[in-house]
Amino acid sequence: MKNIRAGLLRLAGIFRRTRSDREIDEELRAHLTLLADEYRRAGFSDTEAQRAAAAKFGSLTSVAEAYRDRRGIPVLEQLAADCRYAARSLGQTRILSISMILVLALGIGVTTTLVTLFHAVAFRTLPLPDPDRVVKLSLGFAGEVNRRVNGHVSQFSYPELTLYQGSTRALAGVAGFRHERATWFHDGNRRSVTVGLVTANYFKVLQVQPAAGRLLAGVDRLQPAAVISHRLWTDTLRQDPAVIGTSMLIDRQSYTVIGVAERSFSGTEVDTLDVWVPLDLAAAARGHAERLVDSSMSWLLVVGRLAPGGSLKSAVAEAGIISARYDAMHPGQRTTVVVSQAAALDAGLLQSSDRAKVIGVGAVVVVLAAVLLLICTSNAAALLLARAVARQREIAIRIALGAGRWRVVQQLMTESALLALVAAGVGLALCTIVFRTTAHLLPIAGYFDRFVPDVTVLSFASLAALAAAILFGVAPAVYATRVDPLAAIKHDLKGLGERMPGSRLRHSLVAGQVAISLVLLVISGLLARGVGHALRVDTGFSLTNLYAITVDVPAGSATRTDRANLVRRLSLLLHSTPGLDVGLVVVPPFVGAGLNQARAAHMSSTVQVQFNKVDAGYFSTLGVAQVAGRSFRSGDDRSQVIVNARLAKAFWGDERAAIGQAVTFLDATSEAGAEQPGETEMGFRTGTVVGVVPTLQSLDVGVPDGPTLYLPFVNRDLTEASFVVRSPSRQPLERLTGDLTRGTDASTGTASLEDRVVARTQPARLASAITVLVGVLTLLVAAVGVYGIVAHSVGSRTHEIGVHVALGAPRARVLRLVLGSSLRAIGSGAAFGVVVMSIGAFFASDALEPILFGVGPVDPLSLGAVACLLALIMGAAAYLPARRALGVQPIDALRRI
Amino acid sequence: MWVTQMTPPANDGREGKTEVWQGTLALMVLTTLEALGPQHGFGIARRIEQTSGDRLSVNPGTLYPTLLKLEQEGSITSKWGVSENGRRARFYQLTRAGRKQLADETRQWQTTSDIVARFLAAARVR
Repeated sequence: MKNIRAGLLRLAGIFRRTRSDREIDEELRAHLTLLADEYRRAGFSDTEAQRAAAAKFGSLTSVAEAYRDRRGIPVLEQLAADCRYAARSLGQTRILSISMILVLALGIGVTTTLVTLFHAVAFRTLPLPDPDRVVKLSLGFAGEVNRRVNGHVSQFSYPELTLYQGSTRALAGVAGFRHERATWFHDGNRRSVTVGLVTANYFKVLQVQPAAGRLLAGVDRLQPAAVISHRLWTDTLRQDPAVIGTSMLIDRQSYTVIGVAERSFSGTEVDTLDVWVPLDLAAAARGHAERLVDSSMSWLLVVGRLAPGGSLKSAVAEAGIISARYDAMHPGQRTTVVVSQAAALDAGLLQSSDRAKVIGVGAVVVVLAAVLLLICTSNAAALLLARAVARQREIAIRIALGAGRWRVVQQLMTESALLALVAAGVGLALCTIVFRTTAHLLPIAGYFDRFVPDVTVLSFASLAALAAAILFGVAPAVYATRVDPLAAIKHDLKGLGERMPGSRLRHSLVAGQVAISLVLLVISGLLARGVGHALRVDTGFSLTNLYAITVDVPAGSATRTDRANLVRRLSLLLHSTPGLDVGLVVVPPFVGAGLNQARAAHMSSTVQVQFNKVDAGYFSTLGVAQVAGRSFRSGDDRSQVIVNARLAKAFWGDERAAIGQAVTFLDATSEAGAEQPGETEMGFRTGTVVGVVPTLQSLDVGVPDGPTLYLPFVNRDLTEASFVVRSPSRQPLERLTGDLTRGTDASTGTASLEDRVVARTQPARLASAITVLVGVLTLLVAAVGVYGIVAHSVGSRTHEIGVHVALGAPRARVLRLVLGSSLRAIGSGAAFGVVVMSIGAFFASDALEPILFGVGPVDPLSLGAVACLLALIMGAAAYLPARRALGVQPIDALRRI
Repeated sequence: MWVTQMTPPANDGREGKTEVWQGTLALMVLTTLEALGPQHGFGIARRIEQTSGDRLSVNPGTLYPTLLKLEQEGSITSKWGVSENGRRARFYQLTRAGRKQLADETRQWQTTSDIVARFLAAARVR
């Protein structure tokens, strides 16, 4: 205890002195005076007394030193002194220090930002116990596929889920769930909530704990029980514990609240859940009881947890066996069950192929970032080296006075560590600011809010700073201390025209930097062009002023009739409003739940097709003209069909040849169909092709639709219809729909399709913007570095330049003296970069191909142009400080010897 | 607990005087402060030398670090004051913890010296 206290006080003594040097001196002098007083009393004269006292006391200096040593801890004091010294000496070369900090901060900041993004997208696990044992299951199909889709085709049907639950050994539990939007009627208000329809084992599989009450369990399978999220509990219920046991009205069903989920849990998908209810009960209550027995209905997401001792490998192997049983269930179909470790951001947002692509792009971006950091550090090294050269005299004097080489290296390293530390702070602030200001631009802003910033990021930044400090500090420090003190002090004045010491190292750093920036610029240019290419959206129809109106009636027993009535009334209203083009469609472009899939046949050939149902006004509203034949007419029934060009080509090889042909298809159409008597079976149906439309891009931006069969819209489709409307503005639509739903529990949504498409291309735009930003930053950093080096070299060669000017050297010669070697370094760096890029393009074009979205390999012209541009910018960065050399007055320069 | 070492005898005409062992100096400082109350460094040194019958000499290079150490450990405190003959000096004073430490160390020292004395007596009898 005593020792700890003493140690702490000594530690504090480094920074806050318990005794100032002055106080120590005063105390010891007082001792001396008192001693002298005593001698004086003993009869000594003044002088004798003082001499005797001094003799008895001993050396004041060494006593004071012993006293001072006790005050703090010598090693730490040395470090503190080093820091103070470093700060002072960095302050003396302010421009150089600021450029070093700026360069490093840019490097660290950008790298941290990119790594954060990449980490969040690719590697973040779910906030659950043992997250690496949680897996997600999805389906892939080949062969003859008859699939009704409500969500995505890769999702499970209920019978498939129960089969899996019953068969698996490798997984300790398998839970199915589905996210749905719903309305919560609370205190006379409507609140839109996201409801998770979950199997009763959901919370057990994920190992979620309750924050209050209890969570859903087996007994609740058919009970109207609900678990609410911590956020809902806090935001709207003020964490009232009495909420448990009360009932809540969600759409048209009342549930009893049984508990609150723990705070960190808001579902396994990107969109966060507010309420969880039992799937079996809720599906029936929401009017989808038939989905529970339909084995071809894709509508459930599935998560599982590896059994104790089980591995992902065994789960994958087992999935192969279970998928064979699915194939037995659906003859002609080949199913693959994909088991993958659950990440925080996956299938819901990115399909597996997209994910690979995102990771590919991300990996390239991270490599770019690492290279950028490398450039920054080499830049800082070059600046530091320039500084070390200028300080050779000082270092030589210190070594001559007896400082060990290690001691001097330590001092220099302290300086670089200090720089790196400040830079890391600035960089981290930069990263945070970038995130704060741009996070809302991301399509999944809420997702990032949950995670940024965190420990990983902080440790990454500090690690990057440490690595940077070592990387850029060691070489210059070792170089600078390799001096012969005598020579350095004596020959302060370098031989005129002689190479500056360290110039070779410095110039190769500059050349390397130019080469790397060239490679980076070219790559980021390519990436940007590739993304731009991918973004050139050609949907096949004009998006301007095009809106989709969806009608939403709370799920419940009477939903279908209510919805059909509402759609019918809205249809009348819209059609009677002048100036609007109106079309009815089951799945509007870029909105909705995905298209049903089935086989279609003509003669002996079959093709996998997707279905949509549209009315007579649909194609004219989109502004799509028939390639051949006609559009639907109001009298058409299911025996007339329209196909898209892709399907026409697949069957008949030519659009025109399709007209009048018969096509047979499984009517895997709608759930609503099941209610119609006589059509309960998925019977085969034959239709005549009356029209061919161009292949549009209506599902995924940038992806042409697959073979598509359009069926004419009939009255009973009103239960699932939406609208496409071309209207000069949004207001009349909102007024109409507002009037229509006022006083009812129904609601409508009006979405601008143009906005939809823009929103969907945002991640790609962002990626492209980031790569360009990295490229430009690289250029900036390299330019700042070259500027700093040349500026410093001009500064430290003032004397030499002065002599040249005094001897009458023309301006051009002075410039060449200062710039020559830098320009040579820039030129050779650019040439080297071109060579590397050409060789790299030759070998890596295959590897880069998938992420370049069809942009060709590097062409010599653009490569040459980039090289010239780079050399020009670098040259300018070198020329600006070099101009100062022209203004050197010989007399000033010579006076400074 | 204390590093005990002999400081080499100073060759300054004070032959016959022993320098104080560092380890025992702390105890002597504490005893002195208990006997005299608040006292400055010079006063403490003088008192120790007098008490020893001028057989000990206190080196300021040992005394002041010891005083600082005791202060860091919380056994004593210090503040500036004026000496009896009007000189400004730093005065040291025992704290409560210091009194406790003094009691402990006195007991320890006595035990040690008792034991040593018995060994010496036994040797003499033989």
